[in-house]
Amino acid sequence: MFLKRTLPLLVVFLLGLAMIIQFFIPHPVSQTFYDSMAEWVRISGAFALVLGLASFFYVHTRKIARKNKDSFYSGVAIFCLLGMAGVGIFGRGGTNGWLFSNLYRSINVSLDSTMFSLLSFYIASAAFKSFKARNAMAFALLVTAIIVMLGRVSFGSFLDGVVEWILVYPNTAAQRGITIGIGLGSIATSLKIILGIERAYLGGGD
Amino acid sequence: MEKLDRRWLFLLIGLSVIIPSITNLRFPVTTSPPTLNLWNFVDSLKYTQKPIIIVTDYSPSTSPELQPMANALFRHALEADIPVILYGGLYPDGYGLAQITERTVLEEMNYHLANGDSIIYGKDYVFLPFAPGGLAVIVGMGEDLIGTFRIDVHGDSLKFLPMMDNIRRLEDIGLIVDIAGSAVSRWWMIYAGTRYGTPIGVGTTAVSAAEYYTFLQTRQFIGMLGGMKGAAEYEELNAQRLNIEVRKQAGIAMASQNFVHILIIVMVILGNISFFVLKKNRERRL
Repeated sequence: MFLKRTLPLLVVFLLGLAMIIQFFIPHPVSQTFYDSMAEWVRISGAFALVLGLASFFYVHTRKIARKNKDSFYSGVAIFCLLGMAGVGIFGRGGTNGWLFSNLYRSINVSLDSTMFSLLSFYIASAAFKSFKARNAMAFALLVTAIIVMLGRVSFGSFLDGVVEWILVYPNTAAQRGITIGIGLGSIATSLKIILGIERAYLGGGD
Repeated sequence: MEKLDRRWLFLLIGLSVIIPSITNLRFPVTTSPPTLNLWNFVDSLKYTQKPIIIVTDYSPSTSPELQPMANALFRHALEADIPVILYGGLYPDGYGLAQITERTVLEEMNYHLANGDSIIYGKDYVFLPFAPGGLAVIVGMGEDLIGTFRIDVHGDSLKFLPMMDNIRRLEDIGLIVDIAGSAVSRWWMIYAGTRYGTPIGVGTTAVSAAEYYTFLQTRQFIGMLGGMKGAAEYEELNAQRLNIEVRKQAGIAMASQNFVHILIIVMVILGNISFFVLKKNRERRL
């Protein structure tokens, strides 16, 4: 219990508090502490990659072992990961080599951007089916959206001034409110984590 | 209209994308203030010779929209003899995309400058490798840029590259342009911009552009490229002011975007007309 719960909570509490205090003390000792903490985060980040890989193999090898209906895709995922890593580590030129770059460019970039571009079909369909001026607010939103969309195309250059005004004034006012809300929310959540009230990061539904 | 099979819409969208892109249609591009501000700021770096860091902080999914921005910025900086640090960003995906930018632009420029100056690695630009740690990498760069990476993508020590002679930390950098489809640009703004005082520019997808206007107003971002239009505007400025005559990726894609936007607007209007006609008919029956 001490190692699984009390120790992590203590580490988070002490380091969280130390980082808050450090921010307000412009002293060389405080700066050295800050630098070493930043370095530790980078080192932990490298270990997080190892952890991610371990988790990846754990999930997919289990699916294959259990003969899950999607186990073929797990096999493809493992093959792709090992293949790319193998080409990057042992291939000629490493990650700067012709093969690695072209595998990335021709497979990963093409597949990923194709998947994302499918969104435009669904957005168009959703806009047609559900973007209706059911009341005054919806009508205002509809008109604004049409003006901004027109402003993003060459035919709509006559609307540039109106579009810029919408983005700079009403949009900025709303965005700033949202940003302040997010900021306050982040502070509240950070305090809850430091004080041990929010413990979801410990896992186990604790 | 209400019962229209959505596959017809899909077909229309597909045709609106394909036809303009294969018929070589071109439309005039007007420049918006955020793009112009960024272009002017980048160009002013040629007088101070402070380097620009171009960060490709995006994944392949958003690359059709963001890759032209990285290319246009890299091209502008190299043409104007501004030292460039190309960096794949805080996630591993961006490294490959920065590589694409490097190869695309260098191929174009070596062709363009066949009888003139050529681009020399280490003197004109440097390419930084991926370093894990996310936010901590920005903080590390703020304190000790060379110590954070130590080597470049070729495995050579950054200390021995001539371009890095006067660069120790972020305060020695003239501008960071973070190109991202996520909220990562805010990290650069908060840490590199606010904490270390480095000017920040941003390139982002059209969807995310609206949320950054608040930071343009406060000058926390000195300029912004918003979506495909922002990239097309930057390409156009490069062409007009620096006589860079290369294939305008975003300019070509803008033709499709023009038609798709118009199609969506027409469909929304038709959808609303149909909605009101049906509503009126229902009211009459009652």
